[in-house]
Amino acid sequence: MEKLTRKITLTGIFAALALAVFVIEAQLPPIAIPGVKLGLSNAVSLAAMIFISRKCAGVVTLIRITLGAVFCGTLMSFAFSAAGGILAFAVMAAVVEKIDRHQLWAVSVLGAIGHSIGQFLAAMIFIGTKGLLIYLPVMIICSVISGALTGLLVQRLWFSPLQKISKKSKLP
Amino acid sequence: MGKKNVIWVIIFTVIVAACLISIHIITNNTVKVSAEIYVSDQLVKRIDDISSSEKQTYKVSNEYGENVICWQNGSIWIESSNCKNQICVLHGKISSAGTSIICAPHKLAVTLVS
Repeated sequence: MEKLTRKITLTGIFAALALAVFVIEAQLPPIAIPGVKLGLSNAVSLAAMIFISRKCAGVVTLIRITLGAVFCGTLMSFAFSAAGGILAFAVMAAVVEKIDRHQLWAVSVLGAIGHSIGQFLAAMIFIGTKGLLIYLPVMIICSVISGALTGLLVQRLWFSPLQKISKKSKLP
Repeated sequence: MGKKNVIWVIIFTVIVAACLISIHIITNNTVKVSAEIYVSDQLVKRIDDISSSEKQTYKVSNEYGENVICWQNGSIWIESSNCKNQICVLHGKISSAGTSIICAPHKLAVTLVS
């Protein structure tokens, strides 16, 4: 029972954090190319994945996408961020336990690439492919950079006293 | 720790390189480049597609002088001109949309548009 309460609480905290980061990030002007952003809310999903569990990270992602669209988004942006967020989550959930924590940034990069591909698929469905193909490699390059940055951030958090939050912690 | 990081860096570098190559291929294939030739701001000739594999020639001659413009395989250049500075001839070949060759003495401009 205590374990469950702990999980629910942590999931709530991470969801609130992801949502706050998402809303703040949406207000920032785009870096270089329109639509390119750091993806810090994805970093929160990844953090939830390693600090709590994959299932709870999925819940955090879904809450962030839904409430994020409610607070600052349109139906279209909801579809895009859902496609990107869910695919990114799926990719990260698939690889996170297979890759060492010291290479956590690589998990984040793979997730970010998944995010780009998911958004591209959504764009293909809603807008059509013509002229959009050029954006996929551009988006993938950007996601390698942003994924590495946010991944390093989460990796740094894991190798810090904060690790104690996690049940899987090896710290005393 | 270091070795695995290096492997991942290599993997992602390959991915980025593949993306850069595909950007190059996509921009080269899908964008059809047309050329427009202007003499004193008047459009005198529009070449819809400069990608022909045979060398094509167009001669501009007017009161300012004579320029011979050639195009082949998506690039265009001024082969010869009887202007005094020859800057247009020395400019060489251009192939990407938005670039131009100017022959100032003859008031001539060759511009590529997509």
